[in-house]
Amino acid sequence: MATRTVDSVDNRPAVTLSGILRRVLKALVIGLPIFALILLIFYPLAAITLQSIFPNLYAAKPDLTLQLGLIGQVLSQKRTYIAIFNTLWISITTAILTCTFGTLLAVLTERTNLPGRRVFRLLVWLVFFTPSYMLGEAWTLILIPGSLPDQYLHFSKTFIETFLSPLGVIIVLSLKAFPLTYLAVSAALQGLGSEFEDAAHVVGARTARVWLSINIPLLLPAIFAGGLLTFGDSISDFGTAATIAQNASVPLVTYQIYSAVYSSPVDFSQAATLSLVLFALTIGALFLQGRLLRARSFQVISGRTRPARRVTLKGWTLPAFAFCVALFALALFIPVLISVLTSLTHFLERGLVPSNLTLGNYTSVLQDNTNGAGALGRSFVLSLSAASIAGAVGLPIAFIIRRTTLPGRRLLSFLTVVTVAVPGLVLACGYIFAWNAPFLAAIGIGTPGGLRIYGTLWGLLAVYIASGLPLAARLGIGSLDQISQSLLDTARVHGASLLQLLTRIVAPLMRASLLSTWLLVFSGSMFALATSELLYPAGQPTAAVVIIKYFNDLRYSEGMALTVLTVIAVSIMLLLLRAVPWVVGHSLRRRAIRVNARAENAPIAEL
Amino acid sequence: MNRFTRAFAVIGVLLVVGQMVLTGNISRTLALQTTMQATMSATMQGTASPLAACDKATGLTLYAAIGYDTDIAKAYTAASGIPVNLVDDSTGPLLAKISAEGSNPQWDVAWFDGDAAMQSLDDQGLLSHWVSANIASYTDLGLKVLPTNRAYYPTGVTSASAIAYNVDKVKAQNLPLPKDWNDLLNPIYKDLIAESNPSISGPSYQHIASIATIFGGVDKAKAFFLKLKANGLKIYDTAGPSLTQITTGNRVFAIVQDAGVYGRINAGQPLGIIYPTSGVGVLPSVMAISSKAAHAGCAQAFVNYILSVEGQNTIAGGDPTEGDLYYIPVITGAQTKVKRQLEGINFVYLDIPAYAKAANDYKAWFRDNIAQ
Repeated sequence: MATRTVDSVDNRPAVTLSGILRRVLKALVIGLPIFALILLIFYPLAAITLQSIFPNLYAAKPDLTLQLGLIGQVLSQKRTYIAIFNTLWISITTAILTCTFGTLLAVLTERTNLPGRRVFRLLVWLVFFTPSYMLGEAWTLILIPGSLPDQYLHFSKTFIETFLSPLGVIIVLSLKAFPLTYLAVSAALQGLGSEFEDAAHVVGARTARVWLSINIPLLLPAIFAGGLLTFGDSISDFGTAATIAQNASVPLVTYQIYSAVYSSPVDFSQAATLSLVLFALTIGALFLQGRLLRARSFQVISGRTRPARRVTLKGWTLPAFAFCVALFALALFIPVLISVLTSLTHFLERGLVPSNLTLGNYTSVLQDNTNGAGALGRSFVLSLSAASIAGAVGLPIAFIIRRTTLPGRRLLSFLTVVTVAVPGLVLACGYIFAWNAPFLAAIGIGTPGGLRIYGTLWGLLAVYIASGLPLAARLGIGSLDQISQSLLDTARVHGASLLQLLTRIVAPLMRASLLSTWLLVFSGSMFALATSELLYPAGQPTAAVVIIKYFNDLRYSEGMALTVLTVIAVSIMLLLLRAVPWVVGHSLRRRAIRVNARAENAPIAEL
Repeated sequence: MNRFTRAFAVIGVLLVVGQMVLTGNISRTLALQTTMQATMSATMQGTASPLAACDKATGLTLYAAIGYDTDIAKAYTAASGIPVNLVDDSTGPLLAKISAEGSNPQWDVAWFDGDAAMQSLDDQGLLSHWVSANIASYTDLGLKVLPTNRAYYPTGVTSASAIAYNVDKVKAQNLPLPKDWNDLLNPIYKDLIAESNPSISGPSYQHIASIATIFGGVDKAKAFFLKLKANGLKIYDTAGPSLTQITTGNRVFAIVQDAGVYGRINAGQPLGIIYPTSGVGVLPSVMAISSKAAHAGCAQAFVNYILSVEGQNTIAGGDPTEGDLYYIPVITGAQTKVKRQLEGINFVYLDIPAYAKAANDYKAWFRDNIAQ
């Protein structure tokens, strides 16, 4: 961990006007993100937590009867512990699997001459866009007896039963989540030069040895960050819990929350208590990560970093290529194929015969201005805004946590981690309690003609930002850890302000990571289900709301048609974002790296 | 670490105190309002409530989980000029939303399947008690599912517990059709029956409640379900997965709400329906107005429209692929265009207030003993 910090350098007295301005600006840079975090995440979560202690707080006849018994009741039930146990071992296995797949894929695409690596890099993003409920739904549609593939392949009963078990849940969760580790590790790899490899080669180490004992350990913060995100993602994943996990009869914590909130009489206390259980699991994972990483520094980006060389795979080319193809076949091609085929049929069960094929599902969805094309447009604009804001707020938060001595940064760090695992469903309920609270009328929120948050597109935007912010901050921390403090200190010595430091040095160095974060929040928002269902304004549904409505009405074909359209819309965004900066910015980046490399007066990286 | 703990504690204490002060005031005002409302509703029993004024500029906000809600809301706006702002979710999210909004409801009208769930909203004081003039046009069936306190209004009736079966499979395996509930315990039906989970599916709770009514008590129903489980009963989330098990041939019989099955039969799927002779649960679609509706006038006008022959016939003319359209009308003179069995179903009527209160325990038992 870095011992020197930004503030230790900043000890000039602020007497001049520009000094005061700088302080105000600094306060804004730091204060606004914290304010956003408190308002968007902390307050709603506090609201639903309080509700579980005072169950009548927001009732039609509110009172402050303290009922700790409700929490005790949940925590004394045997099935709560069965669910916790299942959630825990399934998520840990998933995290280990995704760390392995994600790291392997990142190294293969970033540092070897693997054929088709550019395509794989793009496909990772497509996997990431695929919402887990679509993946779960698609795999269930593939594996149930009488499904489209079953009509031709005739799966054995053992095969199906093997898949509809915890094993299937782990596979689907891993297929959904490996991009998280991939993104964290590949971003880190872009900052990891070849100088350590070169040094090792000089003393006679082989390539495999170099990677296992030098590069992989240096990548550990990124791998762990990815693993932690996967763990958080898995323990709070509803898409799988509601599709394949239920068919597999594995009770999970998420599923119990789902059933507490979505069945009459609604039991928010149970949902809040079980969310606290999820928080506790995440804190445990964080603590473990801290213990593992505390011992040493992992900073690799310094003034001396140079672009890395690629390893030639030679005889390993074919197995590596096969691994990538198999991974994407399971995570993307097969589920997407089944989704597309479903969207082209009148009825799934009648199979792929000409009389059963139609494009009608697409035309009927596209012609629906409120629920089809309109919903897609709304989701698109909201996700665009949410991604931009979460990215802009997440970076300063990461910076505050890792590179300043400001009071409360530990609390901030704690909040960003804990909230990674907040289920969207619980956050959404918290939003209703928090932003529909009758007492807000006293400050003009929610009154007719006053500021309205709940039940408007603003509220939906806020919850999308809130869902993306913890991810943005944690990914920011992951890549920030790699930037040498001495590089920043040098900048401060040369008179750069905090703002300049962020915008001129930190942001450009983290460009790849910022872009990843942006796309991540964007795709997450496009498919956000629980939050949208509970918070969308009357008459203005989003794409996910309409998709799930089709599924619930057993209109799989139309549901899959809208799903496919959403995936296409997101893919176009991905191509634009990846292609445009690549074309425009390629030469710029080359130049920046050359300039960087020439800054020979920077101190040596702390190792 | 010390500083962090302190900061956390201070924020927590501030929040608790703030909410105590603010909600304290509000609860007093609310108590007063509720008393006034109770007095008013007591005087209103029997005679139709005078309609409040409807502002066409604001319209009304409808929270609905009915398949044809979008179409009928559009038709209503076209006919009356009153805009309907629709939140259309499935019943689960809708109930969660209504419960979380609690004392500050943003909805005027709620509309979904299941009077037990609606009753639990009334138990929390969330529903307005008012008398619609259209009560006069209810059929006998409609009057049987109309609550005496007029907290909500049935708009149509389906059955929660029809037995759907795969016609082709039954023929191929030469299976006799079960006639009554106890027939399902016959070993020839082993591992062939599917049913939905009452912890997730609203209609499924009404089904297990009606089994208790038919068998003479919850304990006897529990014994029946244990025997059914011993005969290989498998529980799926909702009617969707249960029916998919039937259409794909993995299971042969599914106990589900009948409307969706008629929808699939209409679409050409090889399905049949059995109504057991000793009785099937009744499942009305119900509509209610919020006790604190901001647009009570427009809300009443909308409910009256749905309960009118004109409104019913507009619904009946909707898209026949929509499963929810296959209900039995409860308004005299309403036409039915879709094909479904209307007569000869032995409906059992539930003691709704009692089963709304028993819901938590009964569902938990089912989840722990049957579903898992």
